[in-house]
Amino acid sequence: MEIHTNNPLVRNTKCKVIYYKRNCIEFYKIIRDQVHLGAKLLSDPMPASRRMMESPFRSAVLLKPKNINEGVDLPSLETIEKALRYYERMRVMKTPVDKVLMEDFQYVDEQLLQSTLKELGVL
Amino acid sequence: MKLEMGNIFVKDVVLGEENAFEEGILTVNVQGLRDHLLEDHRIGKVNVDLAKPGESVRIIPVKDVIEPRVKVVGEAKEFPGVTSTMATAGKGRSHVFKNAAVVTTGSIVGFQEGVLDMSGPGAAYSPFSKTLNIIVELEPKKGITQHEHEEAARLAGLKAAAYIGECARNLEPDEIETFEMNSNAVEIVKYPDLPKVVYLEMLITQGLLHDTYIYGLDAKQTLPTLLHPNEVLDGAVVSGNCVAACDKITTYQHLNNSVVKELYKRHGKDLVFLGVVLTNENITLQGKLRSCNMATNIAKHLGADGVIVSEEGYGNPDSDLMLNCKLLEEEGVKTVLITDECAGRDGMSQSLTDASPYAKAIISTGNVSHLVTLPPMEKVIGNEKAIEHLAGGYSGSLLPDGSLECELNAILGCTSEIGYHNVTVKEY
Repeated sequence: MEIHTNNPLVRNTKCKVIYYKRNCIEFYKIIRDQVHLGAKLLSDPMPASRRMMESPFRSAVLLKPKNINEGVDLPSLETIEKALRYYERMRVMKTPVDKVLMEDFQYVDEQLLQSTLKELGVL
Repeated sequence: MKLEMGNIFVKDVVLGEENAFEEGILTVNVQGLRDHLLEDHRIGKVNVDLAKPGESVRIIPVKDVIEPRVKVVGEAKEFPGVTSTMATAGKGRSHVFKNAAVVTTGSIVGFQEGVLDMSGPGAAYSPFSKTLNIIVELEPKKGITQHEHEEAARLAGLKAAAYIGECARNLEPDEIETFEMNSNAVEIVKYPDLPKVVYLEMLITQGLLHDTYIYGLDAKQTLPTLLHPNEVLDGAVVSGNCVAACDKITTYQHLNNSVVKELYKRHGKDLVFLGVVLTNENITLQGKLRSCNMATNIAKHLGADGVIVSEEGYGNPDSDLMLNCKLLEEEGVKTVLITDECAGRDGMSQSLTDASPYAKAIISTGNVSHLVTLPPMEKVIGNEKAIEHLAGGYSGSLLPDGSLECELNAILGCTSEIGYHNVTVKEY
């Protein structure tokens, strides 16, 4: 199991973390590529509230395939495609970019990831 | 199970030196309330203020709204498992101060929560512009985490509502509403020809600022569970949701859940109300599958002919909504969904992040992207600049004359997905 993230605050999580210094769209596309290569999404990378949707930070928990021939996990592909499509729509909003807000976005994303890891029995 | 709700109608609220209720006027003991809340060592400062319908007052950002009430007969007290010992809610008698509300405010993170205007066009959108509001402004002590701050603020609102509600204990209610329903086995025999309906209430349960509690238990740690409708109306469900102001279900709205009350009214007339299944909205895909499958199984096992499903929030919970619908319909259970829409400012975009051919009956509670301008208010409780960080606000939302330009997203409780709101839908 791997955590993929563009949130610098998540880098120190006690799991295997792969950090990308990329924007949200680029991050989602990387996750989509991973899914095409056989990875399964264990968490939904789309947030559950409007403000967090406008956040540039995302984290996703992936399960890499043991065998490259396992094929594409279609529910995972559907999930990342939905997240990508919806985020592209949300980008029309002018989100403020002050430092405190960015820190809050990072913090809440990291906390939501902690909840996910607890649910997955990792923490 | 039988619950008597003794409603006491409040005509005005004033601040004073002791809690009292006389001739419709509720007096709140400010110092007593402040001292009561400051018993929590995590809270550094408490300000108490009032905001009444029609006043030129804006409250921003709001955390929760709670109806003041007290349990006068029954083992459970207010908010069992949270502010009092665990016991089953929904039995005995509760006294409620109607038309009054405790409104908690104070920023936990920079972007959470909504705006509440007591007059002007913004007031028309929020049901809480019509309540006499006792504003509890909370400042945390330095050094506490956001988790601790959220919990302290959540508990403070509930404790304030119980503290004020205590004053209703020995009052004679203006009216008594009775909510009584036997076991499903008895009710089904009484009305054998009526369709059997379950209410499936989805609760936001994803982590910090995105949580709900059932009898004090964090609902993301629960499996779908069946409650008697009385339990919901009597304090079993408490909000810990601090995001998406428009469609968060405040504790006040849980206590007055419109779907529960409407199904109750129609029970024995044109349907048999089989109860409320509370389910969660998980982040993990396995969790979503687990909860949706189990909720469906409970409804099926209860013998439901139809299920009404309400959502909380949007985004990834739209997937739970559609999955619940698909699984129920595949079992032959007719399903109606209640949700709001994020359809863009012109209303032309796809409303939800997910869709299903099974979703054939959907009640919309409004388009959260609809743009509104709220004129300046003479008094602002909280931080006016917070609008730029609220869901539905954006950089530039605060105009030079003090007006706010924002989406409905920012307005507290305006597109409630359990129907406790003012917005309606017209078919063209």
